[in-house]
Amino acid sequence: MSLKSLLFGLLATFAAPWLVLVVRPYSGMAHLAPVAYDEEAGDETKGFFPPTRSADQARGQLIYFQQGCVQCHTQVIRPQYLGGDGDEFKRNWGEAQDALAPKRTRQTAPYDYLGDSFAAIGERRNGPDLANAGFRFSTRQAFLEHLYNPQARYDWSSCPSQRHLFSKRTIQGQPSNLAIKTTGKHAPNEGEEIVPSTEALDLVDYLLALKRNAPLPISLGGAKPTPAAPAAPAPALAAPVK
Amino acid sequence: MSQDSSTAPIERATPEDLRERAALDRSTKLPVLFFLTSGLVWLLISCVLGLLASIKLHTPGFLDIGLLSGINWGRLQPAYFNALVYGWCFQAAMAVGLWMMARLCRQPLKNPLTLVVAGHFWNLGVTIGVLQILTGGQAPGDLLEFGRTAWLMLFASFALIVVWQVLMFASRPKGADYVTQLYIIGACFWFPWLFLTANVFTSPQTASGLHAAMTSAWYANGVLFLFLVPMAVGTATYLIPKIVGRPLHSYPLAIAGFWSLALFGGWTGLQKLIGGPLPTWMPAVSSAAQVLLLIPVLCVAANHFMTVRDRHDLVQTSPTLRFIFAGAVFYVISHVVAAFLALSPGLTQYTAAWDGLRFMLVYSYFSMTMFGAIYFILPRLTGCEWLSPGMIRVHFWANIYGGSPIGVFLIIGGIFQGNAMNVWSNGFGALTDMLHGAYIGATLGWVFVLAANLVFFFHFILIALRLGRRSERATLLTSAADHGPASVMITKGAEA
Ligand code: HEC
Repeated sequence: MSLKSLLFGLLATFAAPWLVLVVRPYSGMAHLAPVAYDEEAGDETKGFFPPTRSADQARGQLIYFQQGCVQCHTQVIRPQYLGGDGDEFKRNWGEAQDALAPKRTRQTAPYDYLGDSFAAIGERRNGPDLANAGFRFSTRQAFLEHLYNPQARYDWSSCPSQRHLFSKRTIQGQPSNLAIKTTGKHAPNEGEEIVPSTEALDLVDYLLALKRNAPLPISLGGAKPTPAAPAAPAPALAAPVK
Repeated sequence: MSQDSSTAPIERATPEDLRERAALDRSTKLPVLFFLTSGLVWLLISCVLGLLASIKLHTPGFLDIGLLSGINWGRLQPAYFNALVYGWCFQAAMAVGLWMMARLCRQPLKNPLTLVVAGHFWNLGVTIGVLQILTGGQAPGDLLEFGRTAWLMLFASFALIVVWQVLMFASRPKGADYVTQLYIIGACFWFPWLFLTANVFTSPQTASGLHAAMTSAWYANGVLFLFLVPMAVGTATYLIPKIVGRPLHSYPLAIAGFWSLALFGGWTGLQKLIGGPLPTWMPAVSSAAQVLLLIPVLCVAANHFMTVRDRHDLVQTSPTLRFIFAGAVFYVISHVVAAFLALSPGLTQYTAAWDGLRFMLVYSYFSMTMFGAIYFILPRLTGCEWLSPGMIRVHFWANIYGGSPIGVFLIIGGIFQGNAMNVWSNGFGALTDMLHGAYIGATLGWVFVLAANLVFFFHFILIALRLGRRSERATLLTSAADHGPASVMITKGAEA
């Protein structure tokens, strides 16, 4: 077989999947832009979908990649027919849990990654899905404490400690209001405090914003909200099942 | 393709042939030895990283001290896998590919020093990339975790390799055609294309998040199924007829195996994202293509099996054939598993089963095949024989008893993991407990693999330093009483 005909054959067989699976979808996906909610069409929410990410949050996402969180955590809620019978939702992964929002449940949509330079869909689920982690930890401090000492909540946790994103220092004057409370082997000694670095703070900003429950605008095929069912009281954080 | 072309690599060698081969081997010796040696160093490094990563899965507190505390599983896993793929697999593939191409095209390698320089860049790139991952600077994307700097170097040096391969192929004499050349040129065609695509579409300037993630899934699958697999298939297809001493069972079948891979390979990859927010038909197409990849596997496996036919006793005696045979078993198994994973996303998606599959493909299949090739090539380059059948046996059996279970444990563990994850009342503690056994088993396997490769590296270095046996007869694994026609082929004769 001559080089020419070999190359021609390779080109013909490979260009097809390349064009269809990679190049063609790009034009569709690269031009997605935030969509305004339309009250006239029946949207109850105001502003844009999806909510945009701040610069801090974008830096936080970079750290999320750099530190390899993406190796153990996914950020994608699959449709009901995958993963048990909607069990991903029963785990509270897909649910909004704040008292204000009515309970909404939906799988991940393309718009959920808008503005990211790389969608943190993730590689595996060694840990829980984080698509809506922002609902499960409501304060910055709670996130920081988890990052510093994940085993404080569950001693079986294999979520690695990110101690290298914190520093231990002696308290001078007023203790820092960012200092975290923690116990165990790496707790601060008397007169010391543990403060997060800017990386840790950015990362937590990003995690706090992980709330992919903004309703799809009706113009994108979102469902019309059912007329005012009284907002159910927010379920307590899922009991720490082992 | 003429009939005799299919027999090209195995025709009875005349003294001139042997002299010609010796001259060809002399021309490739330097770059081939360079790539093999540095590849094996990376193999050892990735074994250490893989062992550490495996330990962290069941004992996360291991080495969680001081400065090392940041080097957790989230860094070790990509560091190990990238070091294994780019450090070892690619360099082994380049070495074996260059050697086979020179032989098949009957073209001495010109300017081998340029390739050695390219090789230095390759190693520098991998070093930078692995260090970046370990120090907390990994980039997003499966098998794309090295940063930009590393990619630039890897690409530049790979481009040189491609040019050399193509030049040899283009200037080969008439009739010097064999299917292995197609596999090598194919791999040299697909990888740069995959690579450029992945880098363009995931670069922060152009990328759109979801599309970047998709492209990286497509790329990672492509690296495995369109670079590593064809290189290993090409190698086995070259060496099996040589060792058995007869032509391939069916040349048309071999050609069909190649073109069916070319036809379906590029469509795979997106099955990883089933259920994700992309148009459903895309992962569906990839799943189907992954199943269709069983067609080339069937062609290749049947052909190889029929070529060896009644000489499977040679698997006992020839180190090369033994490793290639073991690889072939995992070639089939891993493709069946890949098809299964593509069809069972609800059960296996995002579980350890995927890691098991990739380990099986990259180590139990690809690496075993390359070990076989090294056992064949090195004596021909250095002019001396492997010293100890015992060391070869240790290398083989430790890999079989240690390496193969790693993939199996992770695949089976992953299936249980997926099954349990689908029951929402199972917390992650229960999941972690459940996988404990599988992970400990994998760690044990890694200990064996590391030991096996240390032995192999020691043996390799002795031969590379020409401290091997000076003999006309190849080192075989059983007593050298009767090796039938095969011994004729394995004996180097006038080549030394
Ligand atoms: C070795 C795998 C692994 C890596 C790497 C990892 N995690 Fe985890 N993570 C887990 C596991 C397992 C759990 C569940 C146990 C727990 O809640 O502590 C978890 C839990 C969590 C939770 C709580 C989720 C919930 O719903 O309760 C958060 C938040 C989290 N991880 C964030 C991170 C961040 C941020 C990183 C990167 C800096 C990271 N993880 C890296 C394994 C990992």
